[in-house]
Amino acid sequence: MEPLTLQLEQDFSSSGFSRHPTWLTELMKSAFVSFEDKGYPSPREEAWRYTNVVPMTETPFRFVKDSKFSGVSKDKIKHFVADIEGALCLVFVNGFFQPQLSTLQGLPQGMILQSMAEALKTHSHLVRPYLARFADYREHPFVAVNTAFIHDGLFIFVPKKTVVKFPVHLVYFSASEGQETVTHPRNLFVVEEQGQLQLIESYAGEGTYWTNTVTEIVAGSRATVDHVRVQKEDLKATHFSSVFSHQAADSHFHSHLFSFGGHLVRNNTHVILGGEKSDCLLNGFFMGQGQQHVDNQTTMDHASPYASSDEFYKGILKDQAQGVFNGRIIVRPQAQKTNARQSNRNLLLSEEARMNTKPNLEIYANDVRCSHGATVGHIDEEQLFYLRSRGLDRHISYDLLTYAFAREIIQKVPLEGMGRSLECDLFQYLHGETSQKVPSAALPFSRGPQRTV
Amino acid sequence: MTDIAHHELEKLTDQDYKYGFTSDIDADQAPPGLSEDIIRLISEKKKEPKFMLEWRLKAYRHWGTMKEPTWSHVHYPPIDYQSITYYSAPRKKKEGPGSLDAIDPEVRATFEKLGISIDEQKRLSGIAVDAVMDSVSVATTFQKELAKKGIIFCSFSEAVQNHPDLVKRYLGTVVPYTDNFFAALNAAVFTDGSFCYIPKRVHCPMELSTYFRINAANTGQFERTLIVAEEGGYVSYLEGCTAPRRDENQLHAAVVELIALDHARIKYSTVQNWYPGDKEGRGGIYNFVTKRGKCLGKNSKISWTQVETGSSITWKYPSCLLIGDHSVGEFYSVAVTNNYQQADTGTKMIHIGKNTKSTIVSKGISAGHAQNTYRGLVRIQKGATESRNYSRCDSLLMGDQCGAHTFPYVEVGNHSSQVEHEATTSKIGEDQLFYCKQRGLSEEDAVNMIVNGFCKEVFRELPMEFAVEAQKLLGISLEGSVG
Repeated sequence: MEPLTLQLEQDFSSSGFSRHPTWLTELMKSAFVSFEDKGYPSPREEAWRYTNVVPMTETPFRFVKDSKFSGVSKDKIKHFVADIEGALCLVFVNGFFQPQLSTLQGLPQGMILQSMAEALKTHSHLVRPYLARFADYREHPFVAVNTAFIHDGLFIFVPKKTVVKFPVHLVYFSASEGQETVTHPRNLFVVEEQGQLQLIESYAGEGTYWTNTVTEIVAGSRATVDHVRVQKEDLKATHFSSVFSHQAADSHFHSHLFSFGGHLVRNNTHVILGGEKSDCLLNGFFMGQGQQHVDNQTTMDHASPYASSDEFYKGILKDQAQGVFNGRIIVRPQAQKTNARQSNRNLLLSEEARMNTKPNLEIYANDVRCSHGATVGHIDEEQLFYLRSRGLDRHISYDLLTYAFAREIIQKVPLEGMGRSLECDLFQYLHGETSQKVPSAALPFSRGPQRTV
Repeated sequence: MTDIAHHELEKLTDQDYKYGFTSDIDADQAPPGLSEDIIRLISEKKKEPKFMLEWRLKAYRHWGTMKEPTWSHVHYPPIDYQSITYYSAPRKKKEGPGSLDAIDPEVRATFEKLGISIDEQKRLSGIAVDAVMDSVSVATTFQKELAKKGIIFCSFSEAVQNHPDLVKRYLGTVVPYTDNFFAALNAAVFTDGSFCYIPKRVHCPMELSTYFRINAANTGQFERTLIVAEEGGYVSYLEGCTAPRRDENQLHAAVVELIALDHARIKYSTVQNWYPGDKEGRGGIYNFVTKRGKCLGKNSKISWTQVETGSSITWKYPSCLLIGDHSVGEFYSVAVTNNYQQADTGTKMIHIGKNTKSTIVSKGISAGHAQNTYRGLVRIQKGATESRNYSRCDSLLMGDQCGAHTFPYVEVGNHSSQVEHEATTSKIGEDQLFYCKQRGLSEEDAVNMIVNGFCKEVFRELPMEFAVEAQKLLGISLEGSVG
């Protein structure tokens, strides 16, 4: 048996899952059984064709059970917080909520914002109907592991017609302190009818560790949810993240993913357009260098008529990095008048970089308009020539074009302050300066983030 | 869409399968079932040299260790391989080889009825035909004329007898018997097919073609085609097929291997019109075929063009291995599915040599309850620098019960290559229809025109006679589905 399996089994039996209410205990048990039955996905499985998890199962990542504060200072965390005015900031270290590092003020009336550990105690009647409802652990083995280890994370409940004016910024920081640890953050965001919520999830850390996170988002009718995910994990870390969202009629869900760090990364986004005229925007940018392996999975499930979706993923790969994009659009028989678009464009910057892309369309309705496109290529010589003819040297021209390629995605982020912060990140990662924050004035060609509404 | 349009479309897709008749032909059949004895029997009947029998047995033993694949997007009840008859040959009236006069008049009549003349006198603008019925080739025309140029065009059985060296050298080098379940089965039991050899620097003066006909009931057809074009050779090869209307399903598992050496070009066109089953989805041919071409030499080119209208299930991926530097692979396909037909088809372009180029154009039309899937792989290997691929897959949906799916795989292993893939799925645009009608066209003509326009990019690649036939076929298969 793999060392990781042994460790997981041991941790699960000593995690104290049976102390929870019966419904939760049952859920965790059945999730763990489902994981044990299925085992690790093999590259023979279609969804894991390009990502091999066997090497990671050799590491017995240990589950941290107590919330003992591991000496992470506010200054260190500040590094990973985007400078967004008035944002509520919630910090989790090694998977546990740290109130002393967080800023919380001015919550609108009726809105509930609690750590998952707390919410399971005090608001379990609100959590129970949604927890694990859309994140199908039978289908995804690592979601099963997360579900079996539900302990902390964030729970937000936005009641009817409530508009949350300030973005909620979650920072997950892992400090493994020389040990190989795993965290299983679990977030649940429920936005009721006509509610509005803006979220930012950031992941960072130090050392060799595994982050296995699951976020569930439930948008009621005419609700609006903006979601930004920024992954800046340690370059030795393993990062698996899954977002499952379900949308009711006329709701809007806009998701932006930025993946910079991590050694082995898998970003999974699963959207169900469950109500008529709902709309979804999925943007993604990923970057790989060194030996990084970045796998992006998206599923756009059109289950209702008149819904529309737009998906745009871009990737830049350097050195020996490997990138994967697997985008599925499913249009169910009842989802007539669907309008779905998907695009994946990739830039390979080195001889040894590799990209595998697999944009899928599965269409069972006839009155639809669906399209997808995928390209893999390098920097266009003609564009280079143009810039050089204007007096820029080859090096700067190259950087400028690479930067512009990525910036198209950043520009779509609607949050004030977020764009600028992401541009800094992009600049650092493109130039391999991952440890220090570069002031934005140092960016040679930044004119500040442009807002697209 | 309006009621009239709906009606027209229904009329258009309702037309019957023209080739569904059976011929009463005395046949020499092996008992049903599959075993080493049957394979020995087939090999013996065909008077094969020993290496062939050994190869068949190896393939059979390997097949026994394999599992039937299930990854495709098609559904069918399990096939009982023991109930299939693996050998059925129309009996010859007179013994003696080769002469076109020796053919059973009933066989001749059958092919006449299909519009395939096996009389050289009534030659159809210079097409040499190899006519295959059930398990054997019954006639090959223009052999002598072709031989003058050094071209070998004959049935596979003849090739095994007369050119064993060539067969031995090339058989299984593109599709080895270990390749997949159906290729292994084919290697064990294949009965006939066509063999074609183009010598150095010869431009084949006429189109070569093979016409496959299934006639006997409860049989499977397993044929094998091997085309070799030597340095600088050129050949255009066509393939057509039909089968009678029957309520049970029949299996057709063929293998096609193409080999192009330096500067050689092979153009392979298929108009596949096996019996598609009836409106309730009863009967029809399972068409599980492995087709692959190897661009072995530099500057070589292999081009696949296919029009798939028949078969209850089509499952095939004509592929190109682009090994030689500067070699070119092309794939043009129109796949039409109606009623309960299912198609899972596409291509694989494996770029191995430097500066290799491939183009994929696939058009899928789905009507009734049909499911139409494009599945394709473009792989640029690390050493295939400066390679280029362009893929375009469009699907047209006609009817609210059908499905159209696209599963492209793009794997790029170096940074100097460029790959583009585009796909769209939609139904016939109301605005397009409106425009045509507003110019005075009837709804039927408008739909016909739009569908034909949709497929034009592919039809353009077909040889003349085939293009006309393909256009007609398209009309027939879609009859009654406009709506």
